[in-house]
Amino acid sequence: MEQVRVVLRASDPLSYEGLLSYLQSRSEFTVVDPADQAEATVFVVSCDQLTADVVALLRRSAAELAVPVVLVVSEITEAELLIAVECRVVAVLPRGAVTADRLAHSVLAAANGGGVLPPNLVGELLKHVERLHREVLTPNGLNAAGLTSREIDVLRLMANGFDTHEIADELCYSERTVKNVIYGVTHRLKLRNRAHAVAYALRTGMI
Amino acid sequence: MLADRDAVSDPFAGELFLTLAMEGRLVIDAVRADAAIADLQRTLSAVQNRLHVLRVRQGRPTWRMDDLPDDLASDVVNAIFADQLSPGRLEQAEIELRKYIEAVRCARRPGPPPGAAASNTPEPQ
Repeated sequence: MEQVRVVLRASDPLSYEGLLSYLQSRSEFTVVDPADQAEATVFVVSCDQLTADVVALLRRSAAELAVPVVLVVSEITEAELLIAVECRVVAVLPRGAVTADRLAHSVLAAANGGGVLPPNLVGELLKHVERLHREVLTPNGLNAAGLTSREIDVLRLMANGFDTHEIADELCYSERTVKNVIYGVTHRLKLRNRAHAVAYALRTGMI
Repeated sequence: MLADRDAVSDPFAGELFLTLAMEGRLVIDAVRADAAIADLQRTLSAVQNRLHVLRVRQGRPTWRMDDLPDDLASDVVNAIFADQLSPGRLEQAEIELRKYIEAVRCARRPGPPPGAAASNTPEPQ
């Protein structure tokens, strides 16, 4: 059987040595020197997070080598996963759960898969599609009914021209509480200031 | 599996999906592809409805919520609210959702999922 030629890059020496020992323990793989990376059939990259440097490395390899990539990473966000897939990553292995067998399976699948995304990554992409509906129609996870009764009371008095001290007196709250309520609603709803908060509440019929 | 460091970043990747599908790197079995397309079309329809509401409202600056029936007023409020939270996102969504739909159609393959192929057998536990 023809050996799979692997280029290995890791963000720290310990990970590099660990993954290298895994790969060298299997007769199916030859680890090639990065200087000879043009001969590689699979690229294995290990990192803690997808930092700008790692993304740059992946983009370079996608442009220059165009070989499938196995990414070993501690954590990855949805947006980072999309970047990784764009850079020909076809397998993502959680760093803390990598074993010699799992690494070998992923590298072989990458070598034999012709760059086609495996079912688990297709599944992640389809989850992204499913989330679009929610993200587009209810940005920040909120709908127009996302105010508490306390927030509505404060906004109603703000709309009547009360200042923080007067609102606190009227509702028997401390001024700090009133300020926290105002900060909470403006921050959560991404409103610019008190006037915007009042306008929002009026427009949505909350007050 | 996914962390949430970028929960509020730009949610769209229509161009990437198109590229993956056209290069043959994204392959989706017919069942999942059809479900995804139906989901995307439903979202696109909702986005277009909201954009319609916003455009009608822009054309009638004196429009009052009190003049609307309750069920319609609720739709209008939701449309305006979403647009206030993320201005321009609905317009962007209309463009991007069409790309997703085209990509999934292109990636759709009849028959069983590609996971059944020898090269993509499940990862060992």
